[in-house]
Amino acid sequence: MRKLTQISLTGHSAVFRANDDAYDVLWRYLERARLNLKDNPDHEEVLGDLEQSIGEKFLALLGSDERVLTIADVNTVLAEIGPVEPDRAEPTLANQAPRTRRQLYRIKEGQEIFGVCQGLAAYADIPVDWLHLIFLVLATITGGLFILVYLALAIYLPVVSTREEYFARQTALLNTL
Amino acid sequence: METDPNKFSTLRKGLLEFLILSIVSAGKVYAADILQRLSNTDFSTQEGTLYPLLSKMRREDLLDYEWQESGLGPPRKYYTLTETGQRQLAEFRTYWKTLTALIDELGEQPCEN
Repeated sequence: MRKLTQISLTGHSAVFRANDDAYDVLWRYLERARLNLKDNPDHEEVLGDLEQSIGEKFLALLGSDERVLTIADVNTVLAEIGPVEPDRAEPTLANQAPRTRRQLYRIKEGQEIFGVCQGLAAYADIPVDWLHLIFLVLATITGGLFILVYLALAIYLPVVSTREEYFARQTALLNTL
Repeated sequence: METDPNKFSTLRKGLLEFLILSIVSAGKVYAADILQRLSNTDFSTQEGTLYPLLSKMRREDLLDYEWQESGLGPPRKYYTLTETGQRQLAEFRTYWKTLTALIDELGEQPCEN
């Protein structure tokens, strides 16, 4: 004994008769397609188009045969139609969480002394004048001790010649991660 | 060693939209015509991919469609290019020529420095 189901598809006036398990496969395909189209404002229309094509392929498969659709029939037709993938199947660089493993440099362009402040300003994306002020204040209240920190940075940091070059390097670095 | 086929798949995915514009520019077509024209090419695709793409292109006002009775079976959507679609196809064709010319040109001359 086998349960039969009647299937009506968008655009087709005739109903298709199918085995219960064949119906299940079709239903799951359409539900999956619906889920993957959820961000598409015209998803009902696209699903209708898909149903119409599925119906046309059933008709072509059956011909004048009045038989019941089997799971093999449904699988054949769905393999021709192909899966509906979500709009953004693969995450692009832009919508990945930004990974900030940036590198600090000295920048010679516009440098006052060794370009440490220029480098920090580019790194933290703040105006270089603020850093000059912070460094001067720190140097003053530490009685000049902070100048050593500045010199240490000047010695240890790698150097680039312009801000443009600095940002190009950061982009290159992010792309290789 | 053969080139990894996946290496070009992203490129193909991006180009599919312009190929569809090009097919539709030749005259009114319905979805099965488009699939037929693409079959046996590198861009062969299926309804499951094409329908969502056509719907997106219609929303972007590149394509429009009208329902038309077919001899047998249900009425079909026949697609045409909108003005925006024609403009974008023209832009794409120009850009493509520039791009191939650039690739050829870069291949011809050794670097000078």
